[in-house]
Amino acid sequence: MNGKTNKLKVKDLIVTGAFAALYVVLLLVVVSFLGFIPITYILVPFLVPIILGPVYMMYTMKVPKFGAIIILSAIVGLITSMGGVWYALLWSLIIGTIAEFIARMGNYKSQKMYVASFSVFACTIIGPFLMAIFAKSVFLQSCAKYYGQGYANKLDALTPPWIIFVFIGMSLVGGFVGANFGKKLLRKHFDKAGIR
Amino acid sequence: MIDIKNVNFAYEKSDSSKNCLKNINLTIEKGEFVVLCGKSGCGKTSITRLINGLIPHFHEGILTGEVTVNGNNICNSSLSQISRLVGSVFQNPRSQFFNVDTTSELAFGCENLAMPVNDIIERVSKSTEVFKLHNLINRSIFELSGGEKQRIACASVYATLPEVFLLDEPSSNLDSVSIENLKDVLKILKDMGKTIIISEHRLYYLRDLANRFIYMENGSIYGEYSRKEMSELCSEDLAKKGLRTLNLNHISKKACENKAQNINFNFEKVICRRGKKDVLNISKLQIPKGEIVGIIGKNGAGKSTFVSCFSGVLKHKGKIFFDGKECKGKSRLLRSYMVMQDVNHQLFCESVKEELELNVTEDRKVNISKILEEMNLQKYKDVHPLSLSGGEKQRVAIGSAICSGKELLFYDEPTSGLDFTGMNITCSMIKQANEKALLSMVITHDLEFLLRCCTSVLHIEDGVVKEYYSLEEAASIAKVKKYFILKEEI
Amino acid sequence: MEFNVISKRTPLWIDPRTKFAMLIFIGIFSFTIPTPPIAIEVLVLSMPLIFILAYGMISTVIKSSIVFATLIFIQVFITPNVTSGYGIFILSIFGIIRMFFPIGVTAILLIRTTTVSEFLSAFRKLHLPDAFIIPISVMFRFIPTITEEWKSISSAMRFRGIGVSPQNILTKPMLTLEYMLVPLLMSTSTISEELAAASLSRGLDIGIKRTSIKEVYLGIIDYIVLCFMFGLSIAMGVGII
Repeated sequence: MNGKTNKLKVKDLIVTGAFAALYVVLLLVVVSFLGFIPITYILVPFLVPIILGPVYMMYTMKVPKFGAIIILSAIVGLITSMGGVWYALLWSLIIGTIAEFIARMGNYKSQKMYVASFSVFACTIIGPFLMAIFAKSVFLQSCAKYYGQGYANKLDALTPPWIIFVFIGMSLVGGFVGANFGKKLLRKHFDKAGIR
Repeated sequence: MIDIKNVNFAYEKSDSSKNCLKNINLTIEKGEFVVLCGKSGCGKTSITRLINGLIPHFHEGILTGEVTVNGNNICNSSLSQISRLVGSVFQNPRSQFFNVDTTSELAFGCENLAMPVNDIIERVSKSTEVFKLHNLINRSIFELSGGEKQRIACASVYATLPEVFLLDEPSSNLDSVSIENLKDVLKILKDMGKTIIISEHRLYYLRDLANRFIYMENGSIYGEYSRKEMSELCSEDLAKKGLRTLNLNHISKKACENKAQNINFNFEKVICRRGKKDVLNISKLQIPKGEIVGIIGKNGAGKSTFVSCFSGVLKHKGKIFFDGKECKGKSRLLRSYMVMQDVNHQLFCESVKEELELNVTEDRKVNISKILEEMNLQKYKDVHPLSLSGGEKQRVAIGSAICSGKELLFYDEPTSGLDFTGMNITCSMIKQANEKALLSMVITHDLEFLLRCCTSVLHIEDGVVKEYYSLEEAASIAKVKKYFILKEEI
Repeated sequence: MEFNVISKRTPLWIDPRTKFAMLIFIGIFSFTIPTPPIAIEVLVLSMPLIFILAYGMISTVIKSSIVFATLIFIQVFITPNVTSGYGIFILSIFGIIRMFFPIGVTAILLIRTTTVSEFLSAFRKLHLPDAFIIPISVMFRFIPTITEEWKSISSAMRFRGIGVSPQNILTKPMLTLEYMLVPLLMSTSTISEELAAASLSRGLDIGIKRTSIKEVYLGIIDYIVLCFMFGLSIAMGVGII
């Protein structure tokens, strides 16, 4: 009866909530799993997006409208900020907006654009790491005050600033892999079953 | 009250002429109690969607004809407006609730209508009174049983005081006690003068309430029966129409082959703890090999726990012996296979054939085509399992069980939501699977199915084995019937 | 998330918005003054701890106090006496933990003493858009559902030998992931559609006016807390830094 609108309707918002729940649960479970083993902890920005890729791809397929990705990024940001550190939320929203516009460039129909979109979106996982960066600079300042500059310099040397770029790179690659995996999964199972 | 004129509807997503409504003309008066029945896929759910407006506002497709409720044309009203007139209760409790706690849920409909807060509180109190929910308010919905959830759903709909109540297979996930409660609730609503429309497979609990039964087939209305006429239909007629029985007393026991066995499973001091409570405590139990055991008991009695322990999924204290030798949990897990209640949880592959082959080792490849034939799924060999209907998916799941060659087979409510034909097929498949197995156990609330398929009954209540008996004699058959038929009926 | 906590309106009940404000204030506090004078830190920490106590979570208060005391002990007595590289590194980790400690405690207060209804009501009062509130609301309600679905799915996987076990993850990770995700995605998709149909048929819609029986409101205690934080901010801005 209604023409297909491009605005988010209640049905879309409910589907958003459901997929956000799945995304968040998987995110938290996998991160807490991998966080225990030192080797895998560093690989989190790479491994986690591979697992979340299919969820994102299915979600965007079901809600191919403007705003879907931003809302998801807001929710993910809220969760990764763990209620305490708002940097993660801000970071997520920025990433989410970029991801949203990438998807928009493909008119919300192009699968390739969605893959690119998720590669970017995957960077939301760095949120908590970001806060460590901010924490570090502030912490170093006070360290210098209390324990002297030498102490602060030693600490600084141990955590180089370019590590953030490494994380971003890992997320981009992991996101790319995950989104392609998701694309394949959807085609193999859900398209074949006629479920869109 | 409700007027459906010359309606045709085809779902947008559906390919052929499957799943659509043809030439529906139906009038329902105020205060009537109408039951829509028919085989799976006949269109009864679609008619309920016409009445509550989900067609066309939610399910897209091509609709011709006119549907009016209390004078309002459904097409021209919004779902929000329709919800003031028509209250809907759906089949699956897990997907009906918007809120996390019961009180908010009871208020949900009223909140959506922007009623003043004081009025809402009053309505919620009234609902609590009418539906006797005093021990259910202010609790987390996730703690409730299926029957309790269904009551909350009905009460929540009631709070908005619609004129029409629409229920879609409300008894699907309920045990016999909950079904009786549901029946009481429906009686209350009927006495209030509400118009009630129910689409159902399980007809027996509606026998005394319904004014009319509307029988559908292939998307059209084939016939209308008054309560009296319906009661006069004998079992064969019902079976031909694919309908379940109307009177539980009329079910006769079909003969089951009895394998005389001296080999048994023995349970000794099997205890399963969750938190501080013993959810399962079996001091001694003996089950002969080769039986198809129907496990009965109230929801939450411990049936699923029993099955989980036996199949090796859950850890427990105590020992289980087979033929004198101890059978440890790990080995039982390797030899067990469980067909779950929700079929969608156990379909993993791209095609039906692959699904059946998933657990097959080299030497058993030959059987697959034969099994496909027997299940009547040959034509779906390369089709993706997720695109099949509910009953067909069920058959694939049981087929996988057969192909797996596992010796301990478990089924959790395999017939919920199935029509007569589906139930029959499930029955024969379980029997067939049991021929090569050591033991089959079926958790079920379905008396018709139980008497057709099972050779013995295990009654579990409060985590303890109340009774175990074989179903060969008339006395035991009467006993199990008594469990299901709670009130004396003629 | 304590889904089972239904708001016990203790005498010291505060609006979730006040808890948000507390979180922001303490966040800013921790980041501008990473190693504050102990007295001030105790003062600031007392805010969330009082309210956690008011909800009866005594063990949490005790545990927090012990952790905090330990951190202070380390910073005051041990750190100044260590000069080796590794030692400094490890001790600085404790320093970072101390920095985040007040935030952590306040987060516990927020998450474990606020019910879902209160959150949603607070979001509404903050005039956040429906487009955000409805998904968050559905998310809270959906998470337990997903857990249940997953239990059943993983059970089914175990029976078929494709379960999530270390062996399967190492030998065929992508395949196991596929087996895991397909039913999960299917479930999420199906249940969310059913939920949408059910909710719509009960009148849910965006842009319409809705009332709510569980409204949160700012009371005297909220104002006291807000004034306290305001006062502290001024004191910090003027005197202590």
